[in-house]
Amino acid sequence: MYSFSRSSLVRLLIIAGLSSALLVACGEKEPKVEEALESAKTHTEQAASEAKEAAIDAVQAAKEAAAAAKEQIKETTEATEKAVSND
Amino acid sequence: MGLFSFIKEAGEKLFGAGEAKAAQETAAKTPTPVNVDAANAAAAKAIQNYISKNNLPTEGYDIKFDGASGTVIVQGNVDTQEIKEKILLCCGNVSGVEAVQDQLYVPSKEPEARFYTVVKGDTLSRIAKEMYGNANAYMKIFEANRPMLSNPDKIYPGQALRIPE
Repeated sequence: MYSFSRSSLVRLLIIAGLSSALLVACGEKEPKVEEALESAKTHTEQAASEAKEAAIDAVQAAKEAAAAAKEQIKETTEATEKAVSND
Repeated sequence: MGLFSFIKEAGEKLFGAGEAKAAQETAAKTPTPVNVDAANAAAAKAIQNYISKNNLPTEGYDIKFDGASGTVIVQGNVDTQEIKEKILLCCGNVSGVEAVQDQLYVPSKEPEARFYTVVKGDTLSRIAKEMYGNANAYMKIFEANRPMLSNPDKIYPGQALRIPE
């Protein structure tokens, strides 16, 4: 059998009270943490989506540049051939 | 190692203008080799940034883009087979990319995932049923393709996915 002094009992009650208060506080904060995590996830997805958009644009730009260069080479070759045949 | 083909128009179409558009206009007006190289370099950098935004490493290897063939060349070393495959998928799933030349080395031999190209009407459950014989295994495919996939329902025709063993 344990015997508690009055002061020990009071201390125990205070600890129990504080623990309950902490648990309640944590419980209230849980949705906020979830909200923050969800917000961070959305932000990351948005950033990746924007980066992909930029990559698509840049790939398209590079392909069009290559096609334009090819066309220019073709035109130059044709002009040269024409000039040679006219001589 | 190898060359992976991708459906060039399959990537998510997300429209936007910016520096790339300006580079395109400059290169289209004066398609000198220097401008073409600059446009290729800008594309490679943009793809690398996309990889980075998916929380994948961007060091230890180089990315190049060849606009004439629509090919991304990835060359260097990465830590794991999983990272390697995710990098290849990031590159290949950009709309306009037609092929990815894989020159990435992984230090240890690990099982390679299969690649699957999504077709119209596919769902992850349907793919899981086809690949594993169990539609409920769809989360395995979803997890293997995160963070590029943010939602099991968000897949599109032409998209390449990793299918782990």
